[in-house]
Amino acid sequence: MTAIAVRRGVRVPGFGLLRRVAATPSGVFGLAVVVLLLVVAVLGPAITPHDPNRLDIDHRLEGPSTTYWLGTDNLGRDLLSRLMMGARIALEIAVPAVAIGVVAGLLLGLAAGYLGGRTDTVVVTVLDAIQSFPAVVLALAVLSLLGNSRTGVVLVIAAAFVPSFGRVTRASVQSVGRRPFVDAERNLGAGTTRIVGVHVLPNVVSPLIVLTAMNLPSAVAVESGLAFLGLGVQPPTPDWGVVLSDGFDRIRDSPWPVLFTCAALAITTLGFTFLGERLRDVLDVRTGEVR
Amino acid sequence: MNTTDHTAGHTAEPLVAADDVRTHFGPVRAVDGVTLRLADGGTLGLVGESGSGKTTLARTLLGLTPASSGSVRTAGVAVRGAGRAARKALHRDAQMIYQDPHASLSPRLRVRSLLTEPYRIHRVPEAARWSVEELLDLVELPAEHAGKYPHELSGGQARRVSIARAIALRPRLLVADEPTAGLDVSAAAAVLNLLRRLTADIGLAYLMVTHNLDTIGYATDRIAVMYLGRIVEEGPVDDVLRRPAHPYTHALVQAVPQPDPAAGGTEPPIIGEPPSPRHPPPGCRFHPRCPLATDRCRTETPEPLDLGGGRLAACHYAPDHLETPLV
Amino acid sequence: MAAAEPAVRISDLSVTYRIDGRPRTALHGVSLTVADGEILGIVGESGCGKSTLAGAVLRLLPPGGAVSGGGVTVAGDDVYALGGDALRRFRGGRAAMIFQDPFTSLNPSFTVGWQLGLVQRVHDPGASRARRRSRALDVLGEVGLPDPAAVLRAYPYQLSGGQRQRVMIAFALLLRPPVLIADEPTSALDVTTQAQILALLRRLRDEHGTTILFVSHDLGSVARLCDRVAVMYAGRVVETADVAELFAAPKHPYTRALLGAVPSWRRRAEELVTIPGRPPGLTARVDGCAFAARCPHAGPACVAAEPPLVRLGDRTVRCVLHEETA
Repeated sequence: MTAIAVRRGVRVPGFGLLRRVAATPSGVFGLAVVVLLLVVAVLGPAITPHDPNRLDIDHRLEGPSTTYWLGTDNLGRDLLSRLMMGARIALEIAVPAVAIGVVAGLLLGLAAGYLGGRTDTVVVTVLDAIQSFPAVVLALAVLSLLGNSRTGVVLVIAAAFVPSFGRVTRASVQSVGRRPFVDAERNLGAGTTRIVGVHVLPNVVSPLIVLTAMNLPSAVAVESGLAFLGLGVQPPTPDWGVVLSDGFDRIRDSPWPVLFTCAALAITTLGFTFLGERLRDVLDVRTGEVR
Repeated sequence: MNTTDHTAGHTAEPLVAADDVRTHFGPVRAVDGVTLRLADGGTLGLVGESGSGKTTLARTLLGLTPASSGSVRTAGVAVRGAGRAARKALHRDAQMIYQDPHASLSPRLRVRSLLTEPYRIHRVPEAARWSVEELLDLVELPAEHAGKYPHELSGGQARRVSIARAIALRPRLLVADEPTAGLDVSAAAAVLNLLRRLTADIGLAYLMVTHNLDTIGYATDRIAVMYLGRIVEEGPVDDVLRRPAHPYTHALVQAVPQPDPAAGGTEPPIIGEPPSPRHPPPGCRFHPRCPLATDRCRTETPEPLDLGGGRLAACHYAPDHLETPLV
Repeated sequence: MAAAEPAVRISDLSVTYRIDGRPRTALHGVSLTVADGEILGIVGESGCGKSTLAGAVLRLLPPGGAVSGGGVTVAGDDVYALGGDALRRFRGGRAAMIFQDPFTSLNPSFTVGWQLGLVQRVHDPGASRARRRSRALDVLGEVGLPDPAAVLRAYPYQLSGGQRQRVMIAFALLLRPPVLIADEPTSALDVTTQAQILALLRRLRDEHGTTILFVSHDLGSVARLCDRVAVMYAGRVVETADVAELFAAPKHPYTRALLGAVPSWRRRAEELVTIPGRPPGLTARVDGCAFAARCPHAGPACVAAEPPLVRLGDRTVRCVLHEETA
């Protein structure tokens, strides 16, 4: 009895989920990368080895050393510190952007998929219209209208991601809505809110989680891309796009800034992707069953 | 759960009253002029081949598929044009169990939530509810199944859970669509025994929709045979199956193989397949496949004839078939 | 080939599936013979191994499945010794399969005529176009399709379920194989169509002496069609008998339970027999009789050792208590 009670006591659901996510190597990798990014982003300035904006003119464009672990940039600033601060900026923009995209896409997708008819036509047309703009052109247009603010960047990225979330939600809602259990619920007398909230929504979240995890790094990439082009975040803020841009100017003198920034982007993308795929498997109640 | 006595409220009004109901999907006349009565506490089997419109008729009676014309009253609710409140009352009094038990259970809810959901939807006070354990016990499932997800149940177990869900609100009518589909013989037998016992215990009327004559013959008192959207014969199961008045009923009875080698009958009584419900034949819809069809059958649509003894048959020659049995 | 060789001989056949890297035995030493021109029914609940057995005869086991003991001969020839080309000619030419689901077995992108022609070109490359076409028309007519020429031009989705099953049977008959394996051929069909398909199979045997292995869970169809029946449970044959004897006096408790579980409007008053529990899965370890856990008569002798298949005249039964319980 005691043993059972004790075991029950420790079973906090969140930890169970983490343990199951970490059950495979890709899950461990994804989890580690994301946790590391979060820690770096949250603690930011408190843990950078140097001031990311301090110039060290004697040590410009150096390779990795014991003082500057990843080397320095063209002004002798510590690359590691700049990348760490960059992670913070990237997430500061990508997370709210994707969150807005998810919520807006989810609502639009639910409405279109479940209600169908005219609502569906209108939503699909709007999503098509957004998607038909190339993201960068959209960004250029909006940012030149709104000015170069962070909020503008967040909104532009969010808008660019709404169609993908909207479409995925709509498609899953449609396929779930056709399944007999929705009819069975209706026959029990369940109203639309209950059917959508209790029965449809839980069955469409797993593709959305994967999509969110995949879209977060692309939001980071888009944000860096905009900064690289001189839109959004401006130098000397150590945004990854800014660091990359600075690095490209002097790539013949030192490849390190470009190399390490790209590595940071790549690891971020891989980490989120692996975590997303793992979460999808873990959250699916049916995974592991043999049919 | 309170033992409210349903029998006390009986009036002359039948539980289900359908008059000249038609349910068309574009050009497809799935249900094409059906008149049907089911008394409170009565059991009716609706039998027919695929495309006969039997499932559509059942769904129309429950208001799940809108009728194109005619009138349907189920459990005192005028189903066509019923408002939200009337509809909710209808859903409380008339429940359905679906053909595919796994697909009809919300996959992310555990059995416990699935079983209490009807009560939450209809805000049934705690005191008037059956507990999860009681419901599981009613359908002969051990209490530990409460924690399982639908995909962890076998076909027979999932079927029992959907039966428990359907009876949780103590409906007056239960519609069972192919309740033994996909089950092995033993599991199917257990479900049929259960339905028979439950409906007798609770005093529930039920409508069983199936293509399987034996299931109906075993489980219900009355039978209605559907062909191309119409009821061609109706009456007490024993009388109808032992002495069919409609050649189609006779053909069905002959077609069902008996688990008895001595029963013989390897020659099929009718050949070919039913025509499309898009273009039903003129006259009697069965005439192109009927071995006894006459010119009259080809032109004149037979109306249901009252044969006495609670029997009806839509065949010009039904009285003759009662006198000289079909062979 | 020796004259005494039966059309199909299954000897001590064991089939093992690899699931999650571990072997799971689906058939445990099944032995059966089907005489020339006989219709043998194989009945049992889902998961008893009857479809595996049907597939094993044609060497058509699903991926992961392999014969782990024993073998199959058709007209004396070891099916598992045939090489690539010989195996191809054997399948279709000497033994053919009729599947449960006629829709997935036909290619949706080609007409029935094209698909029939493909089979003919493989097996009879020398035949002229006209001869192939007339043979195809013959076969479609033979299975009771009213307008064979129209069916030849049709795509599978244009046919009804009954028509598709007839087309599948036409495929099986195309090369006049002396042996047919029918795996639940009528399960997806309406009763009137089912009756017609059963009559067609019966006629094939009566007119052409075709040997048929008829796999079904429907005891009614088996009673109507078959000469002899083998009852399977948990990958084993538990009883074989002449169809009349089996239905009149089943010896194995499982057979009795199966027969008692079938509803009938002719016996309305009776409570149906149900079997408690579920069959042991492929993963379960079974000591003694596989049915013992669900058998109302099971005693110590039943779990001590696997009961042998006892021969009683023309029939066999795998139950140590068959004398007491019958």
